[in-house]
Amino acid sequence: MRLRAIFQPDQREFVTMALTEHLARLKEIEAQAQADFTNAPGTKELYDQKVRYFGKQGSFSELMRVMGKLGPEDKPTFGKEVNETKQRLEALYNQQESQLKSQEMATRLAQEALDLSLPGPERSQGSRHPISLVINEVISILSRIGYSVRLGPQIEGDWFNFEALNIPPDHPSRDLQDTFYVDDHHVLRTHTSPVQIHTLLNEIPPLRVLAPGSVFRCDSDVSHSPNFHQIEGMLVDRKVSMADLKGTLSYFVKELFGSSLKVRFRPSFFPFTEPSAEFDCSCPICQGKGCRMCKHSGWVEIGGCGLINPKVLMQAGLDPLEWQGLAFGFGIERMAIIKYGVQDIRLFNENDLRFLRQFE
Amino acid sequence: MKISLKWLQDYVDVADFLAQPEPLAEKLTAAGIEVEGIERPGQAFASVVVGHIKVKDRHPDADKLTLCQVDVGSGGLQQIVCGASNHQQGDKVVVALPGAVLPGDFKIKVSKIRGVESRGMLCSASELGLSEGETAEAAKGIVILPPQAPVGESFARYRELDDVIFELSVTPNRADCLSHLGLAREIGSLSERPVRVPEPQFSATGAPTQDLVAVEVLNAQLCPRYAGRVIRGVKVGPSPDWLKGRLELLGLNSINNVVDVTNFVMMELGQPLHAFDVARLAGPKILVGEAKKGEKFTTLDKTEIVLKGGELVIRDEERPVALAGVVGGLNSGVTDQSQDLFIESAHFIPESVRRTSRQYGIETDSAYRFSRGTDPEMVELALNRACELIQKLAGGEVAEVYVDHYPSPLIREAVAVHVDLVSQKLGYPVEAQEFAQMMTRLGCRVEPLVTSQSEAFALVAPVYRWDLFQPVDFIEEFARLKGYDQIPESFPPLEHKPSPHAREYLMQETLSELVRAQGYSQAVNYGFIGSEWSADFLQNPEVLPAWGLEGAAEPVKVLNPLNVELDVMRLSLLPGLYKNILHNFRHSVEWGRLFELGSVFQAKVPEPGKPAPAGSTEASGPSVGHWEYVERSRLSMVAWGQSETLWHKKVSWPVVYDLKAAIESLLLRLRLGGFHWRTAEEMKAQGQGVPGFLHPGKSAALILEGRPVGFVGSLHPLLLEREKLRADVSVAELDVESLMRGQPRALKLKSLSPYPAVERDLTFVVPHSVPANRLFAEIKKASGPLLQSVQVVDQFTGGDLPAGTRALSYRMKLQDSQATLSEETLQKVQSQIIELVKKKHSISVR
Repeated sequence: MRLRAIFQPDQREFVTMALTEHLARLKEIEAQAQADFTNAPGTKELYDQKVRYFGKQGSFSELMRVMGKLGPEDKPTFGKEVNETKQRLEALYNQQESQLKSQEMATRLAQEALDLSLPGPERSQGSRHPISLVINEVISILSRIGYSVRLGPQIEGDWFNFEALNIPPDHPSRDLQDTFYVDDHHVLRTHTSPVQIHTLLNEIPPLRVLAPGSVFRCDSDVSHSPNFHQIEGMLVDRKVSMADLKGTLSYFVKELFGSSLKVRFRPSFFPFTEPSAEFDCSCPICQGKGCRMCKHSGWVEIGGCGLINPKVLMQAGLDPLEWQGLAFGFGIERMAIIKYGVQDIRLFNENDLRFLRQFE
Repeated sequence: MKISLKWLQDYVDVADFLAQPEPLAEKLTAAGIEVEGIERPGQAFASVVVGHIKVKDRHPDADKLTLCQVDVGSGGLQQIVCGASNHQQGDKVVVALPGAVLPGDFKIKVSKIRGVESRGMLCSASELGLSEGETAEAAKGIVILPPQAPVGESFARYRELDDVIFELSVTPNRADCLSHLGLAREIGSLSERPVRVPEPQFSATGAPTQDLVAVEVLNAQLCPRYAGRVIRGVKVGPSPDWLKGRLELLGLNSINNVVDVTNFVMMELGQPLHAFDVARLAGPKILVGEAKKGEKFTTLDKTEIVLKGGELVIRDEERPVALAGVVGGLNSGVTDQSQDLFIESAHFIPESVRRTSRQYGIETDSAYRFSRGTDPEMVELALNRACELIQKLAGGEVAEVYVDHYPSPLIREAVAVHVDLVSQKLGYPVEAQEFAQMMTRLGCRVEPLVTSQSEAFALVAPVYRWDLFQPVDFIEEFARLKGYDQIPESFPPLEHKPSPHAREYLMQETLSELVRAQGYSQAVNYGFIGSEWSADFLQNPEVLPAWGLEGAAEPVKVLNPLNVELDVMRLSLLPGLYKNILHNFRHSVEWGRLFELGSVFQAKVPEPGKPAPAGSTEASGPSVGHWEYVERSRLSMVAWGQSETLWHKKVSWPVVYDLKAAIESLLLRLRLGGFHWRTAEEMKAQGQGVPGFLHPGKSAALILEGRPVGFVGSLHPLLLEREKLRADVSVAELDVESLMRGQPRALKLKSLSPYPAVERDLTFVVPHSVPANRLFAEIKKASGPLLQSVQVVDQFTGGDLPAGTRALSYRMKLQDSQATLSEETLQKVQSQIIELVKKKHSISVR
């Protein structure tokens, strides 16, 4: 407390001091303050010094009191000196403060630095199963041209799964589908086609519907699973042609795989369509140049299609002279294999998260 | 089905495709007769030729080897060392020259054998990969060819192996293409080439068939045509090489000249035949009728079956001698001693043959053709063709007259087809004349019809095309012949409002999205599962309905499962998901979150007079009375382990709370506020059983708007121990329909209070037997509309707390919409809460 030593609270002594002495003391105070400001290690200490010199109890308040006691001849000189000193010190203070502030900020920033190569807490979304991804994409493409989703039971009456679709008992067409039975009259549906029948029985045409779902066939090998997925589309209207079918599937394939692809029809046989066709599209992997996916043919088989057999319309209570329809269907797993390059069908049902997470 | 191009050449000219078969294959495939594969059997015999042993010496340095000088037609002799001993000087043999590659990737090179150069190899049947040779020993000996074999000719050509074999995939409607003549007809109509039908020539001088074998057809419905002819005095023996060769190329084994002829005619004309040994027929009599229940029958390949009765059989006076159209009997077939034969050529209806074939699991080439539909008009030609060939190869006297029961010959009715309909259905203009031409090419009888509106034709399809009987069938044929590539692309206009998607689909989509947002990835499992696995997991499924999951205790059985691991329909999604957890865990995925949205299945015996439950299927449209099945949509979620990242390690909590939190945020997103959890302890107190797979102290039912709709819980430690699964595993299953009742729920916006909210904490000492959420009711009741939220913010056990209790801190957020809450009001609420809780649960405040 050197200042206290300089300004002892003995007023009388002050008063007796000459102006020069006061000025000398002012110099001393300034020198001391300069030293204190310069030496302050941080903004907090600097501020403490500021209070010490400029605060209510500070040196300059004392000086102002001294001035009050000076004679009128000395006041202007002393006042001027005090003010100038104060301004110099304040400038010094501001300079010191901003310097210390930036130093302190630099220190703080250095201390607060985080290793942002470290991960944040996991907050991942779950992923959709590839089968569901494909189904959804197909639905979104065909919804845009007026198709809406219908679902049907997986344990299906024999009549819905076969007879109504023009597959009579003991008919060779039954050879096309190896069937699981749960009793003499119920099967695990072998295709999504019975949904067509439910829809035709329950709704009034014109109709555009899509039936995705799980289907069952009792053959199983490295490329066939006994429970897989299909999606089937059906359009019923007054007049429907093979050209309508080709145009619809061409739109669909281009939306799903890419605009440069073409659709090809090959004659085939399905009991529920006549004419029937298999539809292929130019291989989306090699763009038709030939690769492993398309067995170097440039074409990949997508599914089956055709105009709804008049017999099916009749079974469902529609007059085939009044109504016509088209239908198409394909396997979802196969689409996922083509679209995502899934190598092994077991991956679809193992539900290995290392596989599923890749579809996030 | 295999087709030989050289054989096909007998009926239609395909010689131009022998060197380059691909264009023909493409043409057939484009017409719907898919060529799945093309084989060139002769390729294996490049540089294999017919040779003539001019000189046979001993090898100078080896007693067991011979040194032959062989003429292979190239001028000069080839010196060949040979290890076999059955060849003689002057024999015609098969020589593999240097450069040949025999089956098994056996490469022939010029080599030195015991110091003597050998420029090729004399081949045995086994080295050539041929099946001839009665015994293994004979197969090892050098093949000795007949003396007339032309020296230097390629062995492939000599044996007619320079052929092309098509592997066809014939759709079930095209039974007419299951023969060489049938495919020739198809090629004929596709490429406008004439088709040659065989015209059998033989002498028929024997006594009439009916004098030797009495034939009677008892069931003409299942057997519309039955013909047969006797040949007496045949000599059964081996078939000539040409016949063996043709059958072998199609993958058929040669048996003897008679059986080979029946097979040959089947492959040629598509008509299966059967030869009976007349001496072995009791009577001798042939009866075509239904089997009696319990009759025994042994097939040609010695399979014994007991007949169920009603199958169509051929019988003699005493017993069945053949399953009609499927397989002949061991008791009456041709043997080496047979002399008098009865050749059967018949038309059985497809359904009957297919039923018998499937019933006994007997699949033969004959059953395959009959069950797809043979041509009744082919019966006579096939019979005569067989007689011609048998007489030629085995001698014998053919009966002057044959029997032919064909009481009502099949008549194809005319179908009227309007050309306008053809154009409309195909989407491109079709000329009447072209349409008529194409139909004629198909073999149809075409007559123009006089109609007022448009051009039309009356079409009669050939008998062998049983698949053509509706106008659309002919339209497809036209499109096929014209080429499907002619069909243009058009876009059907949308002239009506699209309908909404099925509600169930939308529900599943909503749930899937919400659950994925909680970090759960979607799993898809089979609809069926192993009964044992399922039962071991579920243990007591009968308790599940009380937990909100309707269903039966017994799963629906699959009658013909692939294996025991897929023998019942699932009752719950959890046994399948548990398998997925084990798979993941065993592949070092030590923590994970999965969900599945799928169906579970239940059988219901219908109650008479009651309408079918929603989602059930009846066997056939309007009729009732069979089993009914109910499918319910479920959402299951499983969670195992915790993410051990940098941050999660610092705080860890039981996984079941993770799962519970995920479900709660799902419920809130569905705007379902009225739910609470009822612990297993409370369920037990109400007399309900706890699912055996759940930890009874770590599980709770979800009560939504007063009804149970599913559960959450940790797996029972016994299950985890059984699978040595060292992870904290929690599971949940919820009934989708219950969750989605009334969805989407309307949003009820609350007005915001401008006055400050106040938080108050109260800590109670609660016995372990009282679930924390029990106190919510009193807190809500006491605070009334002021309560904005209440939650448990701390729990503490031990210290000076009495045993069996814990301290639970509840944080209430209170706010008034009309005024700033006064300390007075707050005090009042607080003491009301304390009073109510005390009164209800005898619980003290801490």
